[in-house]
Amino acid sequence: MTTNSLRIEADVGQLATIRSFVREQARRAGADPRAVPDIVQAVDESVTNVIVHGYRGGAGAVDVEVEAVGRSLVVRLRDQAPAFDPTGWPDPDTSVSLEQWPQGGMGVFLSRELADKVTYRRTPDGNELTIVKECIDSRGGGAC
Amino acid sequence: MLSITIGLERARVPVAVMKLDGELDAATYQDVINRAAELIEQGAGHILLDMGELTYMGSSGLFAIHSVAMMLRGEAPPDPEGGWGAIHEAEPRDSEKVDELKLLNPLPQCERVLDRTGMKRFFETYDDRRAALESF
Repeated sequence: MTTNSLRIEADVGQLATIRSFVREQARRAGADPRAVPDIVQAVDESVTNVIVHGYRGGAGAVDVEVEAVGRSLVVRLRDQAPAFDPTGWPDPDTSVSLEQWPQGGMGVFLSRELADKVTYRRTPDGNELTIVKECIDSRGGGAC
Repeated sequence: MLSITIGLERARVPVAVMKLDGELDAATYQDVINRAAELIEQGAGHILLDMGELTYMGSSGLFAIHSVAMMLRGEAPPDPEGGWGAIHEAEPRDSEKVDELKLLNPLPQCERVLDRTGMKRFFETYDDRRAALESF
């Protein structure tokens, strides 16, 4: 069980760095390549929400921790923005017309859709979001 | 990092081709909206979004595509801070499909995002550039 972490400033210009980091950690953990884009996007959408809606352009940091646990790739995001639990956010209504298309909540929706499990807890240090994707074949290399 | 290349093609009607190369996320989506707004201001009425080299698209990319579609329909560019109040008041059209904006060669990750959010149904998608241009 190996844990690797990365700290970034709360700046959307850092998102590409986070995506590269998660991709590389997933590869090292032996994750199914077909599932990697899902966990990368789930993380990207979650961090985007922290930066844009949590810190709202203010200074801050986001810590990204990736850990392989059995068949699961576990990504923990920690930040010190105001408390926000995305797991309780309602799904947007995507059955509407283009003119009525929902402009909020799509990132949260996608992160839940693409991950196998998303949990939130408020800690004394801030927000902690855990994203889990079962994508590691412990037998080595096959599909999950 | 996202690179945007603009080309103008003459099919049955003039078509502006926006080729996106790189990753479309919260750091780059506004560039797409701004370039499209410039094209529309210069008179472009039809845009083909070439996504063949777009290796990543987040939900911000959906916002950009939606914005371009709405601008082509005559709505004002969105205010990322202020939301979409004006857009929400726009009258729905009879057809779901957007005739003024079409998509070319989205890679699997981008196509999945379009599909899972239901946005794919609004846009004709092509894997042949000539066919896409002639479809306008």
